[in-house]
Amino acid sequence: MAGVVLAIAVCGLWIALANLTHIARWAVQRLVPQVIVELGEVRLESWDRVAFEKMVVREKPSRQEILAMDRGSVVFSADGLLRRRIGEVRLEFPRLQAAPGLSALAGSPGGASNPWSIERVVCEYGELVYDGLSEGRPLVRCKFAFDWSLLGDPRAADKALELVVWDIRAFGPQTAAPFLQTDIVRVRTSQAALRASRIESVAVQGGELVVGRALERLVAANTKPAGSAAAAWTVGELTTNELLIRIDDAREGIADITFFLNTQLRDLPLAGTASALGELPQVVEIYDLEVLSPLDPLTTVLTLRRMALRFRLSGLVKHEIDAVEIDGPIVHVGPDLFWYMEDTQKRFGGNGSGEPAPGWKVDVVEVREGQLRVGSGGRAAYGLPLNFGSTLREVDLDNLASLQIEAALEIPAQDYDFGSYQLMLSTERGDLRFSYPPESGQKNLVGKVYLRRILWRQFETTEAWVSATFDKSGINGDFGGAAYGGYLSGGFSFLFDARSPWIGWAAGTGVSLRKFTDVASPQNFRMTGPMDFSFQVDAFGREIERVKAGFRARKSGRMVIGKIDDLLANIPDTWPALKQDSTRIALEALRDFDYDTATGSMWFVGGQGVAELRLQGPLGSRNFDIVLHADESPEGRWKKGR
Amino acid sequence: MEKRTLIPAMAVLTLAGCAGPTVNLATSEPIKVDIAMRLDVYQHNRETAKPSTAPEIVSPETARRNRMAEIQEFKNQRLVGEGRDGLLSIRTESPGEYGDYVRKTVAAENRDRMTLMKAQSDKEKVSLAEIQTRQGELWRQRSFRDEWIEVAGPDDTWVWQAKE
Repeated sequence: MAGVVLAIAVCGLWIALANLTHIARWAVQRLVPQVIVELGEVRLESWDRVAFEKMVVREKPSRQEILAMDRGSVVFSADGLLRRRIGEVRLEFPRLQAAPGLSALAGSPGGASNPWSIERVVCEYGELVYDGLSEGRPLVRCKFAFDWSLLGDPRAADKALELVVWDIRAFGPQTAAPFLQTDIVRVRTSQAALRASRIESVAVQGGELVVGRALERLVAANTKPAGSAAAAWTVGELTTNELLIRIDDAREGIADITFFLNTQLRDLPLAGTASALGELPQVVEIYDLEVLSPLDPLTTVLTLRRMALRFRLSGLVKHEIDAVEIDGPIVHVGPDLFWYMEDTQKRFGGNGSGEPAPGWKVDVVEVREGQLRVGSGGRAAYGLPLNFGSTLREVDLDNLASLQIEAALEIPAQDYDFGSYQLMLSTERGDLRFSYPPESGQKNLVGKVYLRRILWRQFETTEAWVSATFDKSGINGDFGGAAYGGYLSGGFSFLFDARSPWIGWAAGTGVSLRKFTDVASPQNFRMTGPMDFSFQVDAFGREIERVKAGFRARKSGRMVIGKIDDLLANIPDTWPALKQDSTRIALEALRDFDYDTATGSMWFVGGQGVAELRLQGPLGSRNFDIVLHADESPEGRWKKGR
Repeated sequence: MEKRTLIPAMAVLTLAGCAGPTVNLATSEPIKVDIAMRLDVYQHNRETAKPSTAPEIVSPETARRNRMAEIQEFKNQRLVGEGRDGLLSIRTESPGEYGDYVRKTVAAENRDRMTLMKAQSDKEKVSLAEIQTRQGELWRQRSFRDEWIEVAGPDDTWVWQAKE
């Protein structure tokens, strides 16, 4: 009898071994009835190890593949099987295709009332593909591995389960390049946490997230809220470390902005992870950014000492920036600036041609401590005595021309000292209006600055103003102010040329000669009465090449050459009395003179020139000619007269 | 003492030491005195020139700088103007030796300007005509009020006018 039983057992075993694949398929089907299981080959490698190859699990209604595995093995013992325990499950190269049925595999075999436990589950190299594009979600590929133990054992409910995921690549619709890549992600949870639909921690280390068209399309397409199953899950802690965020601007000539996202979030819903990350306030600071001329890479048109962009990732995908703070910008006013502005307008001006502008909006733009630097080609530069600042709200960057309306830059009241120019300025108030980008028939940049005081050397003007117009050929300006009892008005032109040529001119009316000469030549030379005058200057940079000036007294007055008093005091006592007295009389006659008319003119060119003073009074005339020679040579017909 | 004049004062001083009859030298009207004075101010060059037997070669820049005062004097007299081609043009011919002097000086100035503009043309690899146009524009912009400049008129013509 025993022999018969043994023979039946051997036959049964032989039959079982011969049909191991069918039996395994049946067993798995029983364990997970929600899916269809296909097994290529199952063989008994040893008395306690079953190996299988080419396993495919399909979703039942659609037959969509949700799991494919090249090889795997199960280690068991008879005692363990009786106690519903499997020794080890080893998965080699499993490929998971995420589909709704995949969640069935995650269920506990045998049901919650009588669960199986597994001593160890090892996955050495798995691959997951999730294609959510048809639902407005990304296509995600990643690789994973895990080594879990005591799965299903209630004694190890709190034992950590770690899933290592790497090489995550997420693609948006119609894009070949991934918008998200990560180096490594460590997911940590436990069986108890899983039962509570909770992932204890997710740590992202390294990678790159591109905020660009792909992400924008996904955000625009995916307006549906997450499903209820996903919404139930929570994440205890989400950390990102050195995750590079790249704000991709596909437009030509616009550099991408990159920064690292290092953050830690706690207790957030899994479905809201992206939203939580997206709502985090971010600050990107850029230092010493130089915008170069489109025509000359050696020429700077804009320097930004510091620029801070404040935004949220969720805002970026909608082209919204919370704030832009710009500290210490230097606008290099020169021909290249206007070329740059024209070039920018052509490319991004929203003129209806080409691809529509992306429509960026900034809630607040704040400019602090801005400076204008006038130069020719951006090399020889002369800083204008202006600091400007401005706060703009709801700036629409979809057409840069809109800035033309908004950009009124305030100039604060401030004192400026330009020692090298012997110039001191005190600004009263003012504004600069940028017309950006330039439009035909309009001035490019117009500014008017009020100055409480201008002090150049010893000469002072009060209640002054300067108005300037900038265009491609240069800067043209006008100015005016009170000076020495009269009024001064004039203008200037800085021409954009390699040698920085400029000209200036001014005219004064009703200026007190006494006040002017007391300042210009205190105690040495004085004239009185009101005068009108004009002068013109022609220069290259700081080198004055030509000066031409003239004046006319409006009323009678008196000339006193005070310097002659020094000569009078130093007439040698050793001279004969007659010589002393005659010298004294001559000098005194020269020193003082009352005039009815007084005119003067001067011109100087390259360090040489002629100054003339013509006085006519009741006691005669005084005509003075001063010839300034550049050298000791008497050559030059201009020195001799016609 | 304020209205003293030279002649009576000197006479008083001359006779002050002499004994004799009192002579009244006062005049019923103040004596008018015209004084014309020219003061030449020389700037001494601190650099001592090295003695050289070789003929001095003056660069166009230096020659132009040395000539600037003459040219300015011509402009002040409205004899010359800045043309559209970057060269000086004689607007009013002067007779005699002075006219020769003006013509000779202007010719030398234009010769130096052309040398410099050709060099600029080679350096920038643009045509000489373009350089001349640019220089003409620069000269026009840098001219003083009332100086002659040649400006674009209607119908592609050029006209001379005093800068405003």
